[in-house]
Amino acid sequence: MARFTKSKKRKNTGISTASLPDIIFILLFFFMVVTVMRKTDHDLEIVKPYGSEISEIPKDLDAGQIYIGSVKSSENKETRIMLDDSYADIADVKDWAKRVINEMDEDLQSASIITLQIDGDTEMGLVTDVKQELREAYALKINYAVNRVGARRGNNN
Amino acid sequence: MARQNIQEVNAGSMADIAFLLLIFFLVTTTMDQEVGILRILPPPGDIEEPAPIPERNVYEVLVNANDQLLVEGEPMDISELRSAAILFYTNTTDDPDLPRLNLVTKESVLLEMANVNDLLSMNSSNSRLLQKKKVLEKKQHALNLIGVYHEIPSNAVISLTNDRSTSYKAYLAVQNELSAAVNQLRDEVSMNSFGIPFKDLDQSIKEDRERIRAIRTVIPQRISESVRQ
Repeated sequence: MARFTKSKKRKNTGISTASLPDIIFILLFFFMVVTVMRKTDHDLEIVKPYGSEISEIPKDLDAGQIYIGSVKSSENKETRIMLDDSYADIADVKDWAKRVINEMDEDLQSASIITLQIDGDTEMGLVTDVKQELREAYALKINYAVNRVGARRGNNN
Repeated sequence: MARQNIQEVNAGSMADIAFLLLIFFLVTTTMDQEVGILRILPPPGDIEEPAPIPERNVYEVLVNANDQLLVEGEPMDISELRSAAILFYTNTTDDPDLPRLNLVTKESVLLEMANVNDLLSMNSSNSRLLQKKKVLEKKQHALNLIGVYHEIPSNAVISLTNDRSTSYKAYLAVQNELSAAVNQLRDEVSMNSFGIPFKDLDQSIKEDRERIRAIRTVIPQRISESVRQ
C-alpha cells in the first residue's frame, strides 16, 4: 500500500511541449516542398474525361491553362472559354498564347506546353477552333488534361 | 543588483502559429501534378494536297456526331480499337488491306545512304534530300541499338476524323486508345531489346534517351486529324 500512497504525492509534470513547434515546422516545410499552389478557382463546370496514356507535365514547361466548360452560375449554362483566370473569346486565344509563351524562359519557349482543361461534354467544333488558334500562334505542344484511370505513367512520352 | 535577469520570450504560442500556417498550406495546395495526354499540333498554313497515299496505308477512324466509331467503314466498339490499331502498325497477318511492312537491315540502309550521298554531292542544299539523310541516320541509330526490324511505310497514317458536334470525351477516348496501341508496341520492343518497359526509360539519362529515340524510330506515332464539316 505504501507504494500507492507514495505515487499519489508525486507532482504531475506533464509532457514537455517545447519541441512541438519544431515538429509542426518540419511538417509545414514538408508540405510546402511537395505540393503546388492550387490554380485559381473558376466558375466553370469542368468534368475532365478519363485517360490512361498520360504523362506528367514538368512545371517549368507549363505555359498556361485554357479552360472550356459551362458557366456554373448562369442559368442557360452557356459554354465559355477561360484563359488562365479570365473569360475570353476564341479570337483572344492567339494573342494570349503568343504572350504566355513569350513570357517563358527563352530556351524553354519551343518546348513549352499549353494545357487544355476541357469539359467532356464540350463539342469538338469549339475545341478544334481553339486548336486552330493555337497553331497560328505556334503553340504546338498541347496537353489534354485528363483524370487518370488505371494509370500508365511514363516519364518520356 | 545591476544585472537583471534576461526575460525569455514565451514560445508557447509558436506551435499555434505554425499550425495555422500548416493548415493554410494544406488548403491552398494540391498534391498531385497535372497530368494529361500530350499531343503536338501541325504548324499553321494550309495543308498542301498530299501525294495520293495507297488505300491500304490509310487507316480511317471516324467519330460521328453521336459519338459512334466507324473504322475503315465498319462500326466498331471503342474497346476493340486498341488491338485494331496494333494490327495496323504490325500487320502480322499480312492482310492486303493493311500496310506492307518493310524489313530494315544495315545493308538496305547503307545502300540508300550511298544513294542519298551521291545525290547530295551534286546538289548539297536540297532540303528533301537532307531530310531523307536525317531519317536514314535515325534508322542506323535504331539498328545499332535494336537490330533488324520491320517498319511501316513512311506514308502510312491513322486518319482521325470527327464531326464538329462530336463530344470531347469521345474524341479523347479515341486518342487515348490510339496512344495505348503505340505505347504497348513500344513496351514490347523495349522489353525485348533492353529488358525494361518503354515507360520506365528516363528522358534525363543519356543512355535511356538514345534508347527512346531508337524505339520511336521503330514504332512511330502516326496520327493525322481532320474535322468533317
